[in-house]
Amino acid sequence: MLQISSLSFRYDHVELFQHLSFTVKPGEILHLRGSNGVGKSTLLAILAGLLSPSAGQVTWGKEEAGFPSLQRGEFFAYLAAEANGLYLQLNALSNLRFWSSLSSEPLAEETIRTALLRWGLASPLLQERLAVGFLSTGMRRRLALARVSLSPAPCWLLDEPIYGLDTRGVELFREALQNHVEQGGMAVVVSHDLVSLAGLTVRQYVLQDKWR
Amino acid sequence: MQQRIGQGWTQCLGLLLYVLLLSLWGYALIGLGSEEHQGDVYRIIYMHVPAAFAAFMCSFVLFVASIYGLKRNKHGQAVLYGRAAAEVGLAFTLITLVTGSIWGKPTWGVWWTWDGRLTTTFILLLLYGGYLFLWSAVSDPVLRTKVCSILGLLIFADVPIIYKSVTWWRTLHQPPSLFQGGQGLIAGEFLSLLLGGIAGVSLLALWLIWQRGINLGLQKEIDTQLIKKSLRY
Amino acid sequence: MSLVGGFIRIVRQGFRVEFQEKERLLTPLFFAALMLLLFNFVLDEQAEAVQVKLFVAEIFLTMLFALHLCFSRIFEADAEDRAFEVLQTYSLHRLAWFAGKYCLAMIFGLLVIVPMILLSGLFHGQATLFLLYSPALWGVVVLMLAGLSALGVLLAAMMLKARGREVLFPLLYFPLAIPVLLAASEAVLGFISGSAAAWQWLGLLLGFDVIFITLSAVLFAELVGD
Repeated sequence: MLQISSLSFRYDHVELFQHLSFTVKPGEILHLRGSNGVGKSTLLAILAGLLSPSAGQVTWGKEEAGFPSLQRGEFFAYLAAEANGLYLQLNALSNLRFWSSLSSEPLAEETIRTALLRWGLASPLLQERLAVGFLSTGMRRRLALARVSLSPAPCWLLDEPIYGLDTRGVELFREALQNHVEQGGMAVVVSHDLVSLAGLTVRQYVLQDKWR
Repeated sequence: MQQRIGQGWTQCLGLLLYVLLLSLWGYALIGLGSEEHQGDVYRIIYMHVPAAFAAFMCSFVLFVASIYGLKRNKHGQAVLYGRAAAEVGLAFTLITLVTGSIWGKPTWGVWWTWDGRLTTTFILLLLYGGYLFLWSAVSDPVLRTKVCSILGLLIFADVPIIYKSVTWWRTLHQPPSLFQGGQGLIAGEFLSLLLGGIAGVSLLALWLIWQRGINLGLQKEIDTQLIKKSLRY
Repeated sequence: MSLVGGFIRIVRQGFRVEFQEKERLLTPLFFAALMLLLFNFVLDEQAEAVQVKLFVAEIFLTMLFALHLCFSRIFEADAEDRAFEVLQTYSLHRLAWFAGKYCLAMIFGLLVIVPMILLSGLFHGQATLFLLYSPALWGVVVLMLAGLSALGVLLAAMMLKARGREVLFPLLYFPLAIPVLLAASEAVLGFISGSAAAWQWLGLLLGFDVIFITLSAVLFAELVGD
């Protein structure tokens, strides 16, 4: 479960948001909405640990007692908006292997290959011989989503996840998100696109624009 | 709310400092007798030594501001005082080097010498400049605070090491430095005037940093209002 | 993940990435060779007595310049697609991350420095060849690299998102590294001439290393966040 209490963020004298509080429970998808510049990506970055808030707290952990508390990096899996966090000189498999090795439960080679297959990156040549730098925007995004879906982290933080994806890619994303949530995971999604989340059980959270 | 520069007492304080310093320098120029070995040009020492002291003191202010900027005041004003300290420090290193040069020529016949202290001051000039360049190179304000604060700490940590190594290197390779400050000036009124100068200039430097820090804060506020207003339409 | 585990993963990834473009590892070495060439033109045909001093000056200056090229590239692959930020969101121990990058900096640095010094010794002929067998020289070189690597990794991480960092990096790196340059060259010259001061300079170099490795590790952890 993820809990945000009284979170505020300002840089210089711009107060992006103040006293935000909400909770996300296992099985929930929170859809962050709001106009451009209101601070959605910043909020996600704060949750991921990339920025510190000016005030307030972010707490996370398993609801049931007796489970070990997770570190921030083990609880969240983060996907940035305009970048994929990939090593462009390495191939797809190598990238996923590296990121998997950093998580708390490194995965077997087979699992990674299956994931690549699922995300439409099936060709062995593509997986093992092609540097990611040669992949198109959509393919790279799929690879980035594969990284997130392979992560054992319960909470996904997704910033514009379907950017660059084609129809099939969006389908795959929906499947993966649905799957993740059905297994008890949760997600906080920033997306201007409503179609990709249509049909899924989603809670809306609108960040108010303070300046208008 | 930000403290305004126009507030009466801060201005008075500044004015007072300027008056004190001017009278001190006036006395140094006119009132004091000629020093036996160096003639009249030695008087510039009353600007040179205090400026040098202030230049290095600014690195301490930079250090304090950087600590605060990194740990206690990440989104606030602290790093602005760091920048102000770098700017004021830059100015005083420049003054130190120029006055040192002016003193050197008539006294020992050289415009420049790689004396330990002068060399360190020169390096400090480059470091202050580097700090300001780094400031303008990073556009994200949150990252900028972090990065510049870290540099501030690095600079403060390195300056004593630089000073030690450079002066040591100097003593090993050159005959005893001609550039010995204050040799004939240890006595009486010469000394007290010098100490007074150091105190006065240091206070002036602190006041300048303070005012400049506030100034920078106000500038940020103005910029923010501009952003807010332009987005409101 | 353990400290050692994180360290190993960062080092391995660093090698994997550099291995893809092996030629790029050699760029600093070519640059170093170029510098030796330029030095030769300007300082040609000096007396035997001066050769040693020139050799020492040359290798340490070239070291400083060539290494800054190595260091500014340490986080290049991580910065390209913002993998650096994604790394920040993983529970990778900050010290392990620094130690890994530091280790990579040392290794890639050695790959450039060792050939460069051998080359320079050769260029100066008989007067300096004996130095290539001197453990004092290599010891000082390694200590110098140790200090510079710490500073280089920290500065490179700081300037990941700075505009014009090709100019800014050396602008900050060189002044901060001056004590290392002085201590290293004085130590080596001292050892050659048998002066007692050499040990004191060595002490200064060691002191610098200890201070800057510790400081850089701590500040790197600060930079990269919790």
